[in-house]
Amino acid sequence: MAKSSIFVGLEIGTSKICVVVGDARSDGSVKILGVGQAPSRGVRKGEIVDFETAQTCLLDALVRAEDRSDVMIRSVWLAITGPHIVSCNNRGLVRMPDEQNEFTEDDLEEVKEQASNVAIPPDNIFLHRILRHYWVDGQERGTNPVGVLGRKLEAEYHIVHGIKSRVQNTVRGLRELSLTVEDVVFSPIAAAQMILNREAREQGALLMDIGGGTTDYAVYEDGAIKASGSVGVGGDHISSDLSIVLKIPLSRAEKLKVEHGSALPAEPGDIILLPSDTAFDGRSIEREVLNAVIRSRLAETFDLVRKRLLAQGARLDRLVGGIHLCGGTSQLRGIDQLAEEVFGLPVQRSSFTPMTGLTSNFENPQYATPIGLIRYAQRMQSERPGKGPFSWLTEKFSGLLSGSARMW
Amino acid sequence: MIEFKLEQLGAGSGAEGSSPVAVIGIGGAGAAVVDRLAVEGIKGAELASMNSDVRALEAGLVPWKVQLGRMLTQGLGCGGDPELGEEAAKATMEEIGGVVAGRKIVFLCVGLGGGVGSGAGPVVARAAREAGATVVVFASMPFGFEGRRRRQQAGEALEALRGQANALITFESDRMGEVVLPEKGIAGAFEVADRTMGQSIRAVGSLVNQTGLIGIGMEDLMEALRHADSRCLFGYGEAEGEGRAGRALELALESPMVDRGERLREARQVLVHICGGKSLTLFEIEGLMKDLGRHVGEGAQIRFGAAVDGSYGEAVSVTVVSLAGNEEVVVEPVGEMVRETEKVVEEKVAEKVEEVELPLAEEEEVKGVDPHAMVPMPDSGTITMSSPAVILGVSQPVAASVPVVEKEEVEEVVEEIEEVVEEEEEIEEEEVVEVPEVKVEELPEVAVEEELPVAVEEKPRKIDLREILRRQGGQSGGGERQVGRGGAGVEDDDEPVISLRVPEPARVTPIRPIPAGTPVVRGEVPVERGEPESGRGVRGQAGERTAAEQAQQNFDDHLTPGADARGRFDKGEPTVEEGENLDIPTFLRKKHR
Repeated sequence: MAKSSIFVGLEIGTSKICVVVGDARSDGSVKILGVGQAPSRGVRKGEIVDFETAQTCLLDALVRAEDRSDVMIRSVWLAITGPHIVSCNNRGLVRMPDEQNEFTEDDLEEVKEQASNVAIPPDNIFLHRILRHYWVDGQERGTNPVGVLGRKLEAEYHIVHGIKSRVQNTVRGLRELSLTVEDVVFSPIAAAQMILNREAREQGALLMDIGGGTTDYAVYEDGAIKASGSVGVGGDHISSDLSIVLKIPLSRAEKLKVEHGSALPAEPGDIILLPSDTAFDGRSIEREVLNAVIRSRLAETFDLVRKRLLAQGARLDRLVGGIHLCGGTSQLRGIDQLAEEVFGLPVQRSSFTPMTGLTSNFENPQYATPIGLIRYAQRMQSERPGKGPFSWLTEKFSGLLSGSARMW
Repeated sequence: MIEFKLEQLGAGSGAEGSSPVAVIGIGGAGAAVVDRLAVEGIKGAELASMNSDVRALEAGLVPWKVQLGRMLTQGLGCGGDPELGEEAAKATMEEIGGVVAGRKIVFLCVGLGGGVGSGAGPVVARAAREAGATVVVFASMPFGFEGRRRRQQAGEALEALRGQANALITFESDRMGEVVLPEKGIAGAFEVADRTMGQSIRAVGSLVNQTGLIGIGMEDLMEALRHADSRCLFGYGEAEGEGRAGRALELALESPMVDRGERLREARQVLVHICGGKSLTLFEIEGLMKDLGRHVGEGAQIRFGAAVDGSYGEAVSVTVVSLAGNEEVVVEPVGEMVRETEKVVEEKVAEKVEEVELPLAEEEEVKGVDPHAMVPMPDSGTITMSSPAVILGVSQPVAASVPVVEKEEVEEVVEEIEEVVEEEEEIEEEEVVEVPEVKVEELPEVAVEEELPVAVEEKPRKIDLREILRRQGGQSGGGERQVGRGGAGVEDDDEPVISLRVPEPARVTPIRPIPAGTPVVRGEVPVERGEPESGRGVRGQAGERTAAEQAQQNFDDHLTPGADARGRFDKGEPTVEEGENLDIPTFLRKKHR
């Protein structure tokens, strides 16, 4: 059996809270041990606005996940999103002093610091500083430059930052539930771990996670992340639009969207009958209008993403790997065709690469982010020095000794 | 004999003789540099070119042209003979005097090695010094391929210039050529040389002229260059876009003069000037200075200046000026220059004198918060002078108004700027707040409907929520806007939106249980739709209408947004992008586009 470690990915989404307990194997596959899910309340546009309500839902999801996986959840990897999170790329440069011509770990650290010299608003904190590429004396080198001879070391980092208080609030809220947050990961980056395979990343691909409250995106070019961000528009907006335009209750609008909605233009004349109900008189809706509302909203959202990507310097025409859609809204009919129209790139709704366990239930793009978190966690653990698999082992043992059955 | 009259071409710098700064190009190479400056434009300086070759002079773009040695060379060049060049200049002293008279700073650009530049350069420099100007010479050394003789002449001219100039910045053409791609050929190499010189003149000019957040004056420049050997290191970089500060510094350090930053390590005095547009951030300055700190030796004094210049736009420039500090470096400068041993000895002695004085001066300056504290320029004898005129020029006292910054103190200074920047930001905010009020007041007077969107367009880019809402009100339909104009919207200062969106009575379709478009439904429609452009009735004519018309009709039916068009997002923070409130259905916002 491959070496394994168990990670818990938590995504507090606008429409649902999802906890996935997974066993990440060194061969890159993730075995899902259990999933806990609960519809979320008190979350707007990917951010918790009412923590007490959200907490109840969260506990619900956690308990389910613990039951199914038989793992006591003590610490989680948390995916966060929200329109406040923005990204940029920056380059750091270190010139070697005369007497030294070999790059050391310190130089690497310094080049990272240099690259982090980005003017971010004072309220923001760095969420990620992801290495994109190294250059040694102007020559690109993908691998670790430590030990390489040269005079000038440059490195480009993808920097993601967001408003500190908003990130901290979520983390603090989890702490109230006596959960430790191992790390905070920007949602599309987590989802990309799962959805974009190596080949897609090399070729260049765009991941769009169209969730309930936000549309998160991440672009990979030449195997490295190029741009990422979040637009505060998602499936909720579609429901809200339908509710406003068609003057029907929100719950009906939501149902209508799921059952009949499509992003493709419809021929006039087709009528959908909404049956009557308590406090609802029943209505007949024209499919043409329904689709036009959905289509205009999604087209606008895609266009916003497109503009942002162009502003961040992504070369859309080079994204041979195409667009990968995930998130709940990506299940909407015709959304792939609309995305293709807007971006002019091949679109696919994502399914996953190797995963064992209760696979069939989770081949749903809705779970890309929490499962991606597990992959991300695995990757981070293997990179993090001094905290290899053995430290986890000892932790597990100490947990057993202290009488609790904690796996972490 | 060809006569060339002193003439002034173009509207270039307008009032000749009025600016305290003059940039004079001498000889062919010098003229090329000032031409470049003339084309690219330089603020607050007058450009003049001097040459003995009339044809070259005539081809120049500079407004002020002086023909040297009219009788001597009869309008021809000096044929690479510096002596002839010198004679020619001396014969034209009067006109040269006219150019330099009343100037505070004179930048001379010369290409050494030829006749005019090497010969006339020192003469003009002296004339400028005698006229009381501070003279900064930008001299380019010939390319290696130009031969040994020119190199030797250049070396001699450099010596002569060193005696006359307050500061001498030398450019090795070979070095500058390195940055050019090999296939670019000689034209490209020369162009780069010209451009580099032009940039540095511009940089030094703005360095001493710009009143910045932290100013650097001529006296600072002189102080940084106060050395027996006034050959200095000069780096200039300009960049924009992502990581611009870092790249600008990188360019500055990579500039041929600085020897990829290596030479800075030996420098004792480094003068740094950062200039950028309004978008220049404290953060960038901080990072940049930190970065620079690693290239500067431990004991070095950093003089730091920063300025904000609107004309920079998104660009940031970094100017690094320093002295080739060590004697060894001075003796073995960038090129293999011929140098008389006598001079070297003289310089060494002079340096010793300086070293003794320096600590004293530093102490005074560091404490010298008092802007009136005057630190007398050290004995002018420290600069290798050959004429009494030189002493005249230097003996002016130098104000230590700008604090001299030790490496560690840079951060403190940066904090000070922070305060200044914050103050400025506050002022900006106040200005923005005022704007919407003014606009609202204007509304009743601007009774014409069409002018409303125009007024919105004219607003500053900083968009506040109210404006966005108003704009959306304006977009949601012509008829509705009319209602807003009627006065109700104007009175309501706080919420102009709501009144603007009051639907036109004719279109009110209160709650339409079944949308139009199907025959079944149509019979039940209580209110007849207004169809402004066609007189046709709606009822029973569905078959005649085109699909597009019908679609339009259907959309119209749904266009009755209430005040709570944001639905479930009503209470939350709105998602605003590009001035649009994304919480309002796209369908409603884009309807009329």
